[in-house]
Amino acid sequence: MVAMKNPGAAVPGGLRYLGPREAFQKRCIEERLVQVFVQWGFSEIVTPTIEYFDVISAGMGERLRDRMYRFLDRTGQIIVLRPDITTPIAHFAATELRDEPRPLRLFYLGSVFRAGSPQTGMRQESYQAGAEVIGAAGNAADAEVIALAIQCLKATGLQGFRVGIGHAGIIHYIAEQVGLDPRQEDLVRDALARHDFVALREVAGSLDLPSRKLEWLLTIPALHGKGEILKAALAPPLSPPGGQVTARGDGGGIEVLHSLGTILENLESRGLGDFVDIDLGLVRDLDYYTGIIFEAYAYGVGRPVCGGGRYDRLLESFGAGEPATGFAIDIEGLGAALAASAASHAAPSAQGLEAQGRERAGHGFELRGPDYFVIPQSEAASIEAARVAAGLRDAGHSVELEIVSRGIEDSIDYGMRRKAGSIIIVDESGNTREVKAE
Amino acid sequence: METKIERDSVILNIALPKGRLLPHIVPLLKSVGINCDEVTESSRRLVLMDERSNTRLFLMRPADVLTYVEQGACDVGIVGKDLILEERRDVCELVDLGFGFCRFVLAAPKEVAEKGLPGRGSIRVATKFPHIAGEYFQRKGIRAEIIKLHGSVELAPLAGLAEMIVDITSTGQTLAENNLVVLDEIATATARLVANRVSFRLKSERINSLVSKIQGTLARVQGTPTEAGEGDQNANLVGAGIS
Repeated sequence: MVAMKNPGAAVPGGLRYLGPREAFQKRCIEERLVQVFVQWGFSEIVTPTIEYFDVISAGMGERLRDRMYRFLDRTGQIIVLRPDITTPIAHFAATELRDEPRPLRLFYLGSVFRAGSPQTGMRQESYQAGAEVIGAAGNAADAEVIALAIQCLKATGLQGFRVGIGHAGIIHYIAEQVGLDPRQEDLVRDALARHDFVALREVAGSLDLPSRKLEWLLTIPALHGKGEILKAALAPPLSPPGGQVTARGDGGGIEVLHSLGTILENLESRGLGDFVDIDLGLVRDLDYYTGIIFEAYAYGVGRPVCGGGRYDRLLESFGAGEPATGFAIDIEGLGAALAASAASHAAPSAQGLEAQGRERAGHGFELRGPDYFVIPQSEAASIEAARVAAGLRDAGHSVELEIVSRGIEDSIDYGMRRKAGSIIIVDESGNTREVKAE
Repeated sequence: METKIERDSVILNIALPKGRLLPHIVPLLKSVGINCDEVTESSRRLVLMDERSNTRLFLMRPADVLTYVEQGACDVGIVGKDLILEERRDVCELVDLGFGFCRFVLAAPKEVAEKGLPGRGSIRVATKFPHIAGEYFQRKGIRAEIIKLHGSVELAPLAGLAEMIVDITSTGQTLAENNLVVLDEIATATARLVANRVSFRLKSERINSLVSKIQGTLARVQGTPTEAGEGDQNANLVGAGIS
């Protein structure tokens, strides 16, 4: 009821309206991304905002499942606001699109909803753009998807970002090498999923491992860099440092490291090596990942602007097992990163926090006023003015036509405030004159 | 010319909590080469730049450190594990700093405590840590009505607001003064160095170097090798419910 007294504030926490500037920025980013998706041969699909809980919760981790907005529909079925778009696409691909040629290359734009504590600065509705490749196993598909993600970020003009690439199977590889049982492996995975290196040390310390294995267990998840760290990870924990590469195991673990190496080489050969690091401690917060995973980080934003990976078992839950990989970009996060990046280039010498605060207002994509504001000299000139406006629009300009009867001075004032590129007054005979800005 | 992005990529923003941890933090930061002469409890300046180590220190209330770090406004921060357990924010937990030890306890007035934990029925529990308290009672299978307070939780049983409290205590003195006895220990906590997830990747060199310097100092202070000394003190935390 409080909200009714002050309709201006009547928005649930973590949600927001986008004003013309912000909406324009979002639109610009999306247009650039769509252009890249299309160039890379991806087709758009649109999925419903609301889905059945039973369908969408397949393969989703408990943490995300708990954050779904749930409702009952009229028949008593539990429905949810989609917390991600990958799962609906997997569902769609496994059913409606099952006869389409593989691999499917699909992209989407849309909102996802995750309930959270509204006062922590976290959004409950976030805008995503993403791509999925369905029906392609292997490193080439992963490399293509990561390259596409990098190209998307580059196309928006983002500077200084990094992409960390890891693998969902790393922890199993570590467990295999050190000889952990499944319960111990879960403890290690849990610590890493929470990015809790203190807990990792505690867990490791409690395992009664020989010191070299202990050291190895603690070192591997902290490694990030280029190809050389893969060599370190391939050296088994019991051989002396620099010893020959003969890691033990059923082969699955070693396969993980070879995949990372192949993908790194692939990206380097595309000239994208400078953007990527191998990150053996990377863990994503969705449970459906089975292979390569990655995240993109940019200055000015405290969470990844993009994340994704391979999810080879998600489609099984919809009847048809197929390998798949993809990613989602957080549009709002990307916008904030672009604003930070644009500001830093616009004012490289700015000092201090106050300057930083001001810079934050800058956007990568500035909303400008119309090219022309056309004012009829008098009521009688309105038809002529409309004709002039139509001509300018046909020529490709953006034009606002004065549609309010007010004094010429007031009209001009409006045009100025709208930052029109040019203000034109049209008389009854169709003659035009431009008003010069003072 | 150096752009701001390049400068920002090496500057390190550290969130520091005013209050009981600060006297431990100042010597620790000094030992790793960060000038914090101006960092005092009563400092009116909330932002202090140390040009030499290219570090910016932000002074704030302990409860705000996780918010600044999670959002990336600060790259790293120092905060008690008690708040980390309660707030469950998405940050990287890098080092157990060892100081600021405290225990989460369930406490009640002597008369109530003598009867022990209720087997059935519901109890009212006052706390500043509703998540931790709620999780504890759920684990124990006890129905509890959690009442969130902002301070002086010891007052609640005295005033009849609740039968029991869940609170942190370091010496137990305040509890005793208010005629409260400890019924159960829920978890222990010490101060932690935490980092923003993105900063941890983008400023990995600076953060890793800070981590290893801090571990060096801690090892010298404790007179034990870095890894071995650290795990033991709080090994029980894992069993006590953060996993």
